[in-house]
Amino acid sequence: MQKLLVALVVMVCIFIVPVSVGAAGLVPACGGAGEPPCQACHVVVLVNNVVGWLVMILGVIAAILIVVAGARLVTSAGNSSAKEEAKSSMTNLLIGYLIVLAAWLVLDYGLRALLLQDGTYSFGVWNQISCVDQPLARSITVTQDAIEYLSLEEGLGGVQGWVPAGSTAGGSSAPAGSYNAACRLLPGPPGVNEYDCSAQEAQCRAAPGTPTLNAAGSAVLCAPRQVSGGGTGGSLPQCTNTYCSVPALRAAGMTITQANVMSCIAMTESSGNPATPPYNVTHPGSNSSACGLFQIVRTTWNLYNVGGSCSDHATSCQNASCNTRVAVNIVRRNGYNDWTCANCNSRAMQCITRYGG
Amino acid sequence: MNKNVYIILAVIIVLVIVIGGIIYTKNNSTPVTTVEYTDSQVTFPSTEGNVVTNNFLKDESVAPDVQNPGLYSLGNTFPSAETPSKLPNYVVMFDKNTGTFNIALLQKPFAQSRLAAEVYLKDLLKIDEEEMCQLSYVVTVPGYVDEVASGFDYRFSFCPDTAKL
Repeated sequence: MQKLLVALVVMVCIFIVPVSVGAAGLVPACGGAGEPPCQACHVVVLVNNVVGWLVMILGVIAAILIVVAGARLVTSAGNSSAKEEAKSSMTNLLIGYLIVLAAWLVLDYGLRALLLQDGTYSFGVWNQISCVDQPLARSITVTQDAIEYLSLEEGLGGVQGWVPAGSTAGGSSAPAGSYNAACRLLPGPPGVNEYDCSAQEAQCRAAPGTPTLNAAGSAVLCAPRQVSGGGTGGSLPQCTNTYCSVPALRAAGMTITQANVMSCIAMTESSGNPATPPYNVTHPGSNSSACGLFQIVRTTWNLYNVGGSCSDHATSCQNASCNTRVAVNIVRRNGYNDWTCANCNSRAMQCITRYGG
Repeated sequence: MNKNVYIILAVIIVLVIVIGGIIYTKNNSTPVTTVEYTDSQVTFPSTEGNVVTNNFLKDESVAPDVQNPGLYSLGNTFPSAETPSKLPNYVVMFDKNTGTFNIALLQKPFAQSRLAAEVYLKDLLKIDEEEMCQLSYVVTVPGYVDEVASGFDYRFSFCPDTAKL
């Protein structure tokens, strides 16, 4: 009888296994065409599937064994030992199956605990695990326009015929970093000037820049090329440190708009570093004394002097608190003009456009 | 049911409680929200979990900014009127209060200056590139060095949000 039972169970398993494997989809769908790439989560899914499949198989076996035990009970025909044996088998079977189900619950609970779902350990339908794309690398979200910095200096600086646009007489509205070059005068009728700008245009494009002819067609303005959505000011980050962040500037006495603009200007002027020394210290021979967070020159410092320990530009311009106090004074009395002046950093104007509301 | 069944059920219940306790503890180990300092290490908050470095403020290449408490110069320093010299490739300023790194690129080619700053910081902090990307930092060029290049945060060259230099 025992041998017959074992043979029966084995046969059932043999017939059920292939069907169950196919039906349950034991192997997770990953790595194939049109499927997500396999990841560690799919191993857990595989284990979970196998466990679920085994529980199902054991359920079938338990049902068969209960039927067999019931049959033995019915056919015990007053044989008390056979009757007790059948009852005992049935009880043990039920207890065993209960333990299997409990173990399944514990295992499933444990597997689920190891998996992140939506960035947290969560429990839903407890016998299902859904794999989502895990982050391939730790990344951070930064709001920044796509930018590419292409300087013309390497392409045109020092090349004969080209001069920085800022140094041309009478000032210029050319974009920062632009260069100018006069075109070649062609021999022509007396009193009529004709120019050939093809060489200058080619040099500009190779720099790489964007060439523009002036109205007379006698010179080429080569402007730095803006690439891929850099717009008019790239990211224009604001300062985040203790001394020039928006809250710090607000605390120093600026309005919310002023603080937003000046926090950006501090970054464009000094990279937000209050220890920036006077320009003529790092560039001997220069007459510029621009210094500290907001690159305030000595004459402006004296004009908007806040007095006390901040009175002397030379000794206090690298003190963030002094520099900021003078900047507050300047902004209150003269707006942003000291940063948007001719030959000043044109990014200041972009800070005003971006953050000035 | 005999006593063995009760024992097994009790074991299962205990297991469930223990696993539940572990998960609860795991869920409640919140990351730090501000930078924390101990004698031996610094813990930075990050969206992907904490970034822990050695206490680099004790490194001999790190100097406090005497005029601006809470700021530190890491490695290179600016020349002064007393010790005039050429601008270094880069300067790194660290703000102890906010835990932010401020990297200013001061010499061209800027890509090489950025690389030099990255190598220095990696060596100082003893963390990998992934962790460096999680720090709070800016990589900029000041306007007095190059007006065109100023006003951008170039980020580290190996981070996903890097900008070409």
